Amino acid sequence: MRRHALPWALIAPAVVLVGAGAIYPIAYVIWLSGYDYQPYRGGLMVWVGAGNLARVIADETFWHSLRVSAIWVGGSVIPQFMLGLGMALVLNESFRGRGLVRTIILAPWAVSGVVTGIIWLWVFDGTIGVVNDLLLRAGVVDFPVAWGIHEETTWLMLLLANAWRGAPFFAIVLLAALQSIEPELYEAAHIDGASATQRFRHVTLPLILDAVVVSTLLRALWTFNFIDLILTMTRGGPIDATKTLPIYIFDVAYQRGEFGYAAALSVALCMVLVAFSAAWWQLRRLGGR
Amino acid sequence: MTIRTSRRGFLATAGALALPLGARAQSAPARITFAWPFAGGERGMQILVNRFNEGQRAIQVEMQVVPQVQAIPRLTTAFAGGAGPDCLAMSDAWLSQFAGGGWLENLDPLLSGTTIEQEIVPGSMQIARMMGGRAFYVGYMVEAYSLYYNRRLFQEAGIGEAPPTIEAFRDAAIRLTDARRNRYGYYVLGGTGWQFQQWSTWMLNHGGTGVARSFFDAAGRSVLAGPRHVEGLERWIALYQRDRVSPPASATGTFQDQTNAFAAGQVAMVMGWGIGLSTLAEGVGEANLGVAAMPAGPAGQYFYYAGNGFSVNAASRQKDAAWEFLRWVLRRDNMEFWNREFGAIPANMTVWDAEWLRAPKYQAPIAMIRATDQLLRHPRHLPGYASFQAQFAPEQVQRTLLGRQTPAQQAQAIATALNDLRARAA
Repeated sequence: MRRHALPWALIAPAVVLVGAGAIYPIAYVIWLSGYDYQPYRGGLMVWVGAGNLARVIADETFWHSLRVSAIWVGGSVIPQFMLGLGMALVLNESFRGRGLVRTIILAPWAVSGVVTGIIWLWVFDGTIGVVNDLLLRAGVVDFPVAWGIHEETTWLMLLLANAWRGAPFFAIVLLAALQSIEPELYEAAHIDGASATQRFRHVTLPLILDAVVVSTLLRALWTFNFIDLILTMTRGGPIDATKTLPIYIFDVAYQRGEFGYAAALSVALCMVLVAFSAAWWQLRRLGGR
Repeated sequence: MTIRTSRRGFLATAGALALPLGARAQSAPARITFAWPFAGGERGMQILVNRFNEGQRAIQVEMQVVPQVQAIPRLTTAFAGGAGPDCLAMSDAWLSQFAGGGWLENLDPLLSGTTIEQEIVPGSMQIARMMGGRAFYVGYMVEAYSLYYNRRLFQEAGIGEAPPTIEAFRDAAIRLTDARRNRYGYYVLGGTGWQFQQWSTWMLNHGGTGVARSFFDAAGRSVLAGPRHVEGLERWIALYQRDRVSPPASATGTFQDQTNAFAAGQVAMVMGWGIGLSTLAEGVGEANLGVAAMPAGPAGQYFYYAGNGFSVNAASRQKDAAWEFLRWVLRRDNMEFWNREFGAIPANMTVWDAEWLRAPKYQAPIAMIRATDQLLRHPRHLPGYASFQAQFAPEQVQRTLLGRQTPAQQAQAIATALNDLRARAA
């Protein structure tokens, strides 16, 4: 018994912190999702049971926001991963000034979402934006392009901004994984006559696969919940083209004041993310076999 | 199952626990918190807070600046948990939410022993009493939704003064537009930031208001779907779609984008609240900034007005001290100081004869606020109206501007939403 006491005592603070910081809020949101709670209307809490979740299923905006979220996550994570992998492969090589290049490449990761949004809004500004200026000077367009009024160009703006900010994350994680690969493995593959592509496919990729799975999963979850950039750049527009599920939940809670329903939407969001994570791990397991 | 949140129980327990501490610290000054949830005006208010703290020792105020974009989430969370600042400055746009939540103290008993109310412009007190006839805030500034124009660009285009009518407005906007030079007459605001006031003014000045300058007729139905109102909206939309007097990006542009475009000289006319006045003046130069009333239509000329005020947290344990502080801030000299510093119109009418308020940029909005028979009484007391304006309306007008629906469909959607809000409130 005494033998087990010390480990328990050592992890107790972490358990308490996780309990207070994560388990309690999750439990509270699940509890709240069973109520019609509108604090701006007097704060009465009326038990509706699964009524809110039934409302979620029938809510067209929920499904629309979920579709938008899928575009947001897919459109963000895939290019970020590709860019990040490319950056990691370059940074893994030896060249003069590598330390400086690493620092510069990783800098966007340190910039907050709101600041990133403002920077890219200026880049794409319809009056004084850099992109319009370059296009006008090059004679590609006669008038400045209104990037924010078309669905496609708005997505381009958002995904570029997010790629700029998110790619360094992949670069950091994948670079760490690349550096853990023994050089002897490459030498052996080289002696066996493997081409660069074959070395990448049969040596590099299997050995960084765990890092790829974990980093893409983490990044997908963060991107799904990432609200700052969209809120700053498009506020869900034009119309509702970029209204992701977290933006919708934010509006339901703090614009419409329907906290119970917003909690139910959050529970639904949580279920989607858990299902996605489980599917991703399952895919990894199958891939591992 | 219905339960009431246990805020009072919590406060009673917390109060009981705090009693011994309070008794021990009787001679210590009362410390209160004052929240300032606005992007501007912080400097002037901090000076007033410092003066108050230095002028006496009995009450010490700590000013907490809340970023404006986080104001509603943060204050809502704090209030709902029975916490929050002892007193705060707030926009009238949040009154229905915060007063509706039961989080603001009814100030009527506190006002009754003072002359404050006699000094405040009636329109501001009307806003203060929009929830059940009780005063939940005391105004410190008022503003009228106005037309701002660049005098230099007007002169260059050979236009003398601000267009007084919707017709003249269109003509001026066309003359001021030169798309090849990226110059436009007007900013058709389609994104967030009070665009509702722009196009609904066209509708109301074209089709008229409902009962007592409201949005509703005698039967309680919204008037905004009427054929004349739709015509007004069509004319506003045509400024963007047909006349092309506005930058293409304005369909989703925000109030900040509009301000930037005006300050950069890209756009000659914009509309908005007085809160952006100093930024606009800085951009085009004080002498170049013209301010005028919104243009009249065939059915008349109606104005939106609004304001900010001070409120006391209903759950505060220091209400008397909070009110004492607010009473001091609301003094004529303090109100003149802060409003002059920030460039706003004081809600305290006794300041209105001050020299600095005689500038034309203040006189136009003051004239609108004085025109009590033209001030719109929009249903800001309805729960959900803030969300309707901030979330529903921009999506609707963007749909129309971008050709996804007709003005008639927009007008119908707006009228239906307003009818629903009213029905739910009833």
